[in-house]
Amino acid sequence: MGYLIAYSTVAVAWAAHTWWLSAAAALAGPAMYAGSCWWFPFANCWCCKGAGRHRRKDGKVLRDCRICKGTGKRLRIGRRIWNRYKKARG
Amino acid sequence: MSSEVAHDTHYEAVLDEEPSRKPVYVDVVARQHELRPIIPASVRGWSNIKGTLRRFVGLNLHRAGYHGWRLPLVYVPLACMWAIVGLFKIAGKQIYWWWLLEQHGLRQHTATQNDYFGWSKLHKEAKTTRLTRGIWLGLELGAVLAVVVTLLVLDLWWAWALFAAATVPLLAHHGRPADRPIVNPAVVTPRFRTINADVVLRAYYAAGLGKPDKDDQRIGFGSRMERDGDGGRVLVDLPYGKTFDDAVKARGAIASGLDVSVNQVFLTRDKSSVRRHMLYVSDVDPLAIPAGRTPLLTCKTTDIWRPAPLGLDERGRRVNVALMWIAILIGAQPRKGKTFTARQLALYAALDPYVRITIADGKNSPDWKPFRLVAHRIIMGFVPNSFSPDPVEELLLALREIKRHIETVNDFLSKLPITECPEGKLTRELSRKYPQLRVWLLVMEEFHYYFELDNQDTNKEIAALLSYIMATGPSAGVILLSATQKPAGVGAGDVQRLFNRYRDNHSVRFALRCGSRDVSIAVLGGDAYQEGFDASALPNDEEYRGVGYLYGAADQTPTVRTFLATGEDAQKILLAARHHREQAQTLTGAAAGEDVSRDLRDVLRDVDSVFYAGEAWISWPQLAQRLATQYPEHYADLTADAISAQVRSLGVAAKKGRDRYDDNRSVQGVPQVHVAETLRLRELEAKR
Repeated sequence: MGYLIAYSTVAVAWAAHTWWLSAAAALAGPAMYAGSCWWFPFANCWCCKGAGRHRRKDGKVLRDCRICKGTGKRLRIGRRIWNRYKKARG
Repeated sequence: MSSEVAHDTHYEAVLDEEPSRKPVYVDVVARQHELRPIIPASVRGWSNIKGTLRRFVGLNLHRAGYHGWRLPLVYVPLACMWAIVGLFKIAGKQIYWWWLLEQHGLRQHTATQNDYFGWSKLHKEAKTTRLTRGIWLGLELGAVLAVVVTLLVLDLWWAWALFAAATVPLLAHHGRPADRPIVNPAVVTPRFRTINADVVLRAYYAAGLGKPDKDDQRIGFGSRMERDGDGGRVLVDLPYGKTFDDAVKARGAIASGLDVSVNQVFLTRDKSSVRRHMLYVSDVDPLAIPAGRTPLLTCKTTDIWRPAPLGLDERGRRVNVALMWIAILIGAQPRKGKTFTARQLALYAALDPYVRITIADGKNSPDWKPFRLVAHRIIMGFVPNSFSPDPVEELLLALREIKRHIETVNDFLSKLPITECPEGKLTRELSRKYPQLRVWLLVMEEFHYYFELDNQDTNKEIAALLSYIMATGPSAGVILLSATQKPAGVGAGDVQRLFNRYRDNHSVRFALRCGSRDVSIAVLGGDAYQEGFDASALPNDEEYRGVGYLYGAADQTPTVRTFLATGEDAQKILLAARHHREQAQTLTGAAAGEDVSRDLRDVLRDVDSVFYAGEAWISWPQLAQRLATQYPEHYADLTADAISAQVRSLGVAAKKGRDRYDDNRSVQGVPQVHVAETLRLRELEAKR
């Protein structure tokens, strides 16, 4: 939703032929993504959708999700990039 | 068997010595209990209380003044400026507190480690904490808003002022940088660096007095580092082979290693060993601090039998000189405080009404003239001048008077009964009881002039008299106080020998800054130089005037900063001294108004008086005969040649004439008009 707002602003700015506003708006998108990665570094696992475990079709047996190892969360890509960068630097 | 075996190991043998009953202290700091005073000195006695109050009030008035004018001009603007910064700082701190930003690092760490559970726990905790903290801050904000709104509604200027006075200092305190306080103290207490072992070792090793790497070349300490007055001291042990002289030579290097001025370092010989000495480092350059005015300014009577205050030593302790039984020599370059020191000692004697003072000032300076008020005899210069018409003659008379006094004293003491005078020595009570036994102070200022007069016979006579007084005077209660700027190379032949003997027999020496090592040796003596006291090494600046070595008065040789007594102080003290003497009825001699010139052989007047009425001319033989007849006590053995020489030396021209008492022979003589003319000239000179 936020990205929608951001990119529509870019389009508006582009239409208005103001280069700096469009540049700022263009940068706003990735900045917002980076900020959200910083604040919420985890997103739901694509496999178990955040549950952390799977239930057998008959509902009796529970098995931990193999992908997220039972947490239900995965590290977001932006955060991963940041961690790698930090490790390389330090 | 066991008992025999037991004999071999005799457990009753004494293994260790019995300990002595008295404890042996590891480190003796004080030999007695130190009883600190119950009431501190600052509030003991009314004058002390006044002094303390005065100092306290003065300090606080200074503070009030210092801060008083800075308040509107400096403090208030600064406070306002820093208050704004403080507001933002406090807001920032509160937001930090509210949003739990201290947890931020921990959360990021968990995210880096891909630890969801840790992150989730922290995140949940943060959320609840933020909520509660937010509520508190909300309440605080509400309270502040309520106050502001109330003030706006009330609109009272003093309410605003109160609010400002409460909040602005608080905000400013938070806003200002830590190293720049708004209010600086008006009174700063001094701080001193204490010497410690490392610094001393560094200094000595850097001065080359030891080597830290070699075992046998290490510097050791013989005592703890102690604080002593305004400085610290320690006993230092040099390595074997180094002596005290090496340390004295390296004093400058030691001072450099200690990072202080050379004047702050004092090395004192230790009696127990030549490789041990006491190092004393004072906090400030003690010799630059003047000692202050002399305590004699209180103008109370003094007692010559008690030590006289001279000044303060390098530690700030009082240095006194016991004047009885001594001869003291003061020597220095000109303008270094010699006369002031001698005068200070003479002032002490002047304030004792039972001391007679004779002063001979070779340089005819105004410093000693105020002593006219109390001195028994006072002689200025060595050529006739307005103060002393015939100083050499007066000096001879004064010295002869003292010689007679010494003889009288010895005679008198020997005649006293044992009950009064048990040891045949002069005592305080005897001196005050009998006027013949008064203590006599002889001041010889620039006495080298009197050894270099034109007439060699006079030189020899003065030298002989001074030698006699020096040899026998002190034990008969005659104190000698000599000051000179030329202690060597005076006179020739016999006179030089007598001068040197006179100079060397002084028991106490005080040397201010001298021009060269030889002068210092002449004043202080060769032994003092061997011990490291070189008066030519004393500092030379203005602020170091009156600093000298006092040698011979005690076992220590302190570096004394003498008290100051200016000309006006001297005048004031001498007026008081005269008053004391009038009360004690001990004014004698010139101070009592005795016309000393009548004691002198006023040759011209006597010659004038033996002319018969109408007589115009007398021959020398006739003159001699008449004088011998009329003034036998003065002219008993007068010869014609003697009187001729004398009268002609006084400026009277001779004239040949016919002597009617001698068959009208044509001989030399003196006309009356020449005598009268010379007398008149002398009166005019005296008036001038």
